[in-house]
Amino acid sequence: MVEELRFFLRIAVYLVVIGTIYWFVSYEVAGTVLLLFGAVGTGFFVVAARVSFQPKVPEDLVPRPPRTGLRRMAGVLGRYFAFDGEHDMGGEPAAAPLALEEEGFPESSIWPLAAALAALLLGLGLVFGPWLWIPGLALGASSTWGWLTQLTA
Amino acid sequence: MATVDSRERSTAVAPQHDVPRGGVVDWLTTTDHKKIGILYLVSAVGFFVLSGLLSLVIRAELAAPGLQIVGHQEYNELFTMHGTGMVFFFVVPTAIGLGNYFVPLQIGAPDVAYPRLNAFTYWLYIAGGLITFSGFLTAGGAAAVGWTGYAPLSLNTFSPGAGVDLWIVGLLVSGVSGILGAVNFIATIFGMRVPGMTMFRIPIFCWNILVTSGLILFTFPVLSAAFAMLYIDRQIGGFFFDPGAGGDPILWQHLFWFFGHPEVYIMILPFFGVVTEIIPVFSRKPVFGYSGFVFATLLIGGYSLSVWAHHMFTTGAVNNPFFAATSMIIAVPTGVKFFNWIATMWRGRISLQTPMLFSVGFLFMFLIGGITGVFLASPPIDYHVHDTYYVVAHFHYVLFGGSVFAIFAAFYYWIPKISGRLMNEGLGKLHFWLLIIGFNMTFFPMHVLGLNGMNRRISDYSAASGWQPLNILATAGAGILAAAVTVFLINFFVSMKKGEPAGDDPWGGYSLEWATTSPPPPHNFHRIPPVHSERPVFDDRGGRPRAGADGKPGGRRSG
Repeated sequence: MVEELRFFLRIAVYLVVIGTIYWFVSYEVAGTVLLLFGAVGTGFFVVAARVSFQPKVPEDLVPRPPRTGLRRMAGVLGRYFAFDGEHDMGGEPAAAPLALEEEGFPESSIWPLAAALAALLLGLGLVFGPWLWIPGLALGASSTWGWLTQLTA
Repeated sequence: MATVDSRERSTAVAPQHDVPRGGVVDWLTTTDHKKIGILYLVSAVGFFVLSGLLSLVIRAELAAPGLQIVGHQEYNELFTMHGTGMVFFFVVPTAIGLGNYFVPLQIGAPDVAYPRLNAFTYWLYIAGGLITFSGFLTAGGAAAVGWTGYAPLSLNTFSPGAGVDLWIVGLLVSGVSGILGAVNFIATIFGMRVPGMTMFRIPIFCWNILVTSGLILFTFPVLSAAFAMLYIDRQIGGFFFDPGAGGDPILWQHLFWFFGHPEVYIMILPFFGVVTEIIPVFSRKPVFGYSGFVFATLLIGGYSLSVWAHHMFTTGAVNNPFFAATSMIIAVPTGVKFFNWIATMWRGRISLQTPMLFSVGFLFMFLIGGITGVFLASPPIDYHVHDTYYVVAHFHYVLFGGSVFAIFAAFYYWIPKISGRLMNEGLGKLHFWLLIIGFNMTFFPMHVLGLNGMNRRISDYSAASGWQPLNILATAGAGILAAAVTVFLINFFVSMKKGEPAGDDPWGGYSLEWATTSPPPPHNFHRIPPVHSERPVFDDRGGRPRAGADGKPGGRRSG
């Protein structure tokens, strides 16, 4: 498991632990739900990312050295929660792709600005009346269409 | 799938986007992370100046009892929009702007992962700012409910105008912008590092942006949900927070502070990263305890999710010992960072040029804010000073003494890379000394005022209270702060026109942004040095610090 997934896994475990403690010391619902839902969301991301994992960043392409000593004794905990700083420092990492260079840079685009303008109109419509949603929705639809067209061109 | 075998990139693979054309249209349609970063930074400074002007009126109002420069309602609008502007439209966007410009450069990437989304994120932020501040143009004025928007004050019963609705919708829109920006940063750092740039070789600034982005993903949706509920209460007849209809105003506080306290770390962690970039370069040493910095950042981020209700001690509705304990524990990883910064400087060849001066100023000022934070984490003390000027002093030492000092450090450190011109050192030092004097004159007396019982958010006070002398001192300090910011702006404009050329690497930096030209080309690098450690540019120089004849950073090589 790469460091990126560990990043989220540590957060998920922390939220489960602190959420459980919080419930038993306070019996307060709002905070407990926030903490545990945070853990569920993060855990879901970790599982989904692990299932669809494709090695593509530098660490993934380097053979991992065997675990010895304390790291081996730490077993699963060590595997998922230890920092692998020493490992990263060893060896010459293999080349990894740079996504944008494969596909080229995106060209300049007016659609992000147009979409934000649509959001502005829709937002103002929530305050000053739904009539503002008509130009907002029209602009939102056209900017979405333009954006997608540009993406697929 | 093609891979990059060579680290040499020629201009022949130059991008289709942003071939220099100049003009307004180019800026409106750009998807280049560097230009979007500049747009963020310029806009954020604009909101800083606007929100700062509001605070000058606040300080003028408080200079003497009985002085009614503005009415009570207008005063409430001023401090609400001052806090909102500084938190949501200055400090966080400045971090996002710096991240936009420098994260791809520091990890050797040609752009962020989703460039169009990045542009959309910026324009949403502007839309959110316009909506929020447009409250001043409505008949009822802007929101006057404090930046915390506590219910039931923020409900229709007490705040019927459109200003609060605009405030809600504006912050919702800017919140979506923050979430999308966080996704972009995480995808960029996780997926676009140059070969050799492992996670434990990325600059500490990138780690801090990563953890900050994680915090944004956890907390901004909660705030958005809370705002949606508040909007439903106000406009569609809901009663989530209306105690008269069976709602629970404490729920608003839970939701707001579940966002609000991590927000403090969202505002400070990126700038911890900034000073961690600057201190080693100006101490001519590697950073002390790289892994310690990373571990401390992760701990601070994690702990910050479990301390929210220390803002609610006096409600009597939360478990005070739990939140006191978790709040105090945060001082431990923060202390680790402080000791690492000191150890980095220890026996270094320290050069007190302007970026380092602001970084050292940050250490002292933020330390005061951190220590008063530990006091406030103690419920008995908090009961005494809750909602007083002591709290105002505390969070200004954290956010001005911490974030703003580090922001200026970042500007002096990185503007030469962005513009290709050095800022004027003399004016920079004048800016620093005016800022530190004005800052302490303004905010230190507030500790005493708070301990003496002066409430925050009051527009007037009794002459018999004895608070006037310290208020005059604070108001005079605010004037000096305004002068300091004016000096910075003059320095910026003069330096951009007549500043000395910076060269590629004016400071003898360590990370990859110093391996490219100033300003960088559209595709960022002509050549990326091989990455074997967290200091690739230092390694590329043969492991030698580069210094001018006087031993200070400042030797330049031509672009």
